[in-house]
Amino acid sequence: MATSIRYDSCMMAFWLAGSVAIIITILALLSIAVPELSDLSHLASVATESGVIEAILLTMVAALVAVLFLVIFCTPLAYVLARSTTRWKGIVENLVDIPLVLPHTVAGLMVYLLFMSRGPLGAPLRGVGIVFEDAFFGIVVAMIFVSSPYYINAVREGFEKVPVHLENVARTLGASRFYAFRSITLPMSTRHLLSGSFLAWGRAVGEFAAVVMIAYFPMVVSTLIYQRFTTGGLAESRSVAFIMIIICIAVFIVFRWLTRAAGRHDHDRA
Amino acid sequence: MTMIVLEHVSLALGEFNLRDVDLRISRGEYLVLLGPSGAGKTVLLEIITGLREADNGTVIINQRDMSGVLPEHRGTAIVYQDYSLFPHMTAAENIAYGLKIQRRPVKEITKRVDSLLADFGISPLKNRYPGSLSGGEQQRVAIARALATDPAVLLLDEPFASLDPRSRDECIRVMQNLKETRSVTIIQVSHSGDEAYTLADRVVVLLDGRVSQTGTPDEIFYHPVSVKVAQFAGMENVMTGTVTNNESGRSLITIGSAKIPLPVAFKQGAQISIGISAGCIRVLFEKPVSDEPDTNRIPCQVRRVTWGKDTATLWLEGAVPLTAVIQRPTDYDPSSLQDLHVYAVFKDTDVCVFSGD
Repeated sequence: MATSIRYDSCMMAFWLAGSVAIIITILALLSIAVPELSDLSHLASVATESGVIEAILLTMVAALVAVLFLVIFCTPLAYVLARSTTRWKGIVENLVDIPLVLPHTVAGLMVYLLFMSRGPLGAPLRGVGIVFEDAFFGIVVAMIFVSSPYYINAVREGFEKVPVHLENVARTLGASRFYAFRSITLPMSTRHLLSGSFLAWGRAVGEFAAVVMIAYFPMVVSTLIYQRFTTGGLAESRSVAFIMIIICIAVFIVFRWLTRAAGRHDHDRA
Repeated sequence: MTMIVLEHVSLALGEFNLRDVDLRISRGEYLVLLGPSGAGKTVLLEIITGLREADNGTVIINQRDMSGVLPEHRGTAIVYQDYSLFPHMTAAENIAYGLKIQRRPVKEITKRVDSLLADFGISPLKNRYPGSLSGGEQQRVAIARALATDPAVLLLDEPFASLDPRSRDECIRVMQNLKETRSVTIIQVSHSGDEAYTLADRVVVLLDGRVSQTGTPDEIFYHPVSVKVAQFAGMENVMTGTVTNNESGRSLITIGSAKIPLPVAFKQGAQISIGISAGCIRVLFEKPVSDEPDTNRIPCQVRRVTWGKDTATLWLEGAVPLTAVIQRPTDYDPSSLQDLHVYAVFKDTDVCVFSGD
């Protein structure tokens, strides 16, 4: 008797193995959601606390500014890495990936040393009025540092997928390299640009260790949750965490909905 | 008038090299660049467009030295085998791309795009995206796009290689039509002899990064200058032998037990190679009655036969081994050819003598 394709034993085994990770995620979500949803009045009171609202807004805005910085300064880097053939490319690629392999406390310490008021970048920038220690921009630079590899790698991959032939054709049709980039490569990489931005944003929103070292105050959500966990206890921190989960899932859904049309002409989807 | 001049163009590029390529292409000429994969044909096109820089040598287009001139200012347009249409633009937008860069008035762009769409028989596809077009349709859009800006030179990199036979024939007809109606200079990279025959004014054979032979398709396929070109051109009967001169001063080449007269005189005892195109060998199933002058008749036995739709290839064993391609005989049962004793007949003038290797 022929084995039914629907009951492919190999696929079933893989599903079974993979379900471990999924089940842990679901259980983790439930362990927060169940107690929170059974005490809605407490949840509502935490959600309306001005300290909580401020921390959430601060985190979102700082992460957005970090992503904006990445889009402006790291999109060109991603393109250069995708197209250049110089032998220095490998070194630059490794430098880009360094924040990925460092413990985040180490990343935080590096950011702190560089941007603290006496730091090599912190001191001159303080001279023009930009302060990083315990300040908004301190949060932003820490976020940029840890999330840049996610953005650069995702966008570079997108650029690499655009065949060089398309740019070549555009060039012979009269396009400058920049015009070819703007009119061909960039629009064809929309999906990767958006997903890179979203990944980096998520990474930035979630950053704790690197942020806390340069800016304990003003408190981002991660710092707030940690502070409440160590001072107020489990119930206090859990409510803030639950609110954060709801917001992140909502943002994720809205992002997917807004970008559903992006990349419909991408080469690898054609 | 000369449109393109390549002088001593060389480029070392890892696995392959272009060595000292010299070429002159006239205005309005259709040149087919033939060569096996890895011979450097695409690289040569990219050097002409400025997408790649040569290590040495000069590229002159329209009497202008192109050193340091960016691809966007050279007036060359390239069409790749993979069509390379911009997938996020419709057929019409693809064709209009170069015209928009030139900031032509919208009215003029629309008119030009419409006339190109009509010329290539793709008007109904105007608003379709490349993803929904067949290979042949995409290639026609790509050629129309390349022609939109009136380039001085159109470069085609194996444009029909990934098309099915019907679309390929259609595209070749489009190119034939183009050749007759517009005076555009075209360089086409190909490895198909058929395409060279149908389209080329002149063929350049590029082997191992060098120009091995330049000439008409007939010259390349029936009178290759070297063993390498002969082998590339698919000449089946390439043999090496020793020259002997007979008492009347005529040079003959001895291969095995056969003596074949040569069209030119050679030094006694010289080792040379000759080639005879399989299509030039006639196969007679009975002993030829009349003695035609300047004709060789070699008695052979059919050792193997492979059948095509309209032709048969015979592997013959005689004084020399020969391969002949004949029209599929109607009065012979295919299986009865095996082991048959036949005569391989060819004219002295069909024998090519190779000077180089």
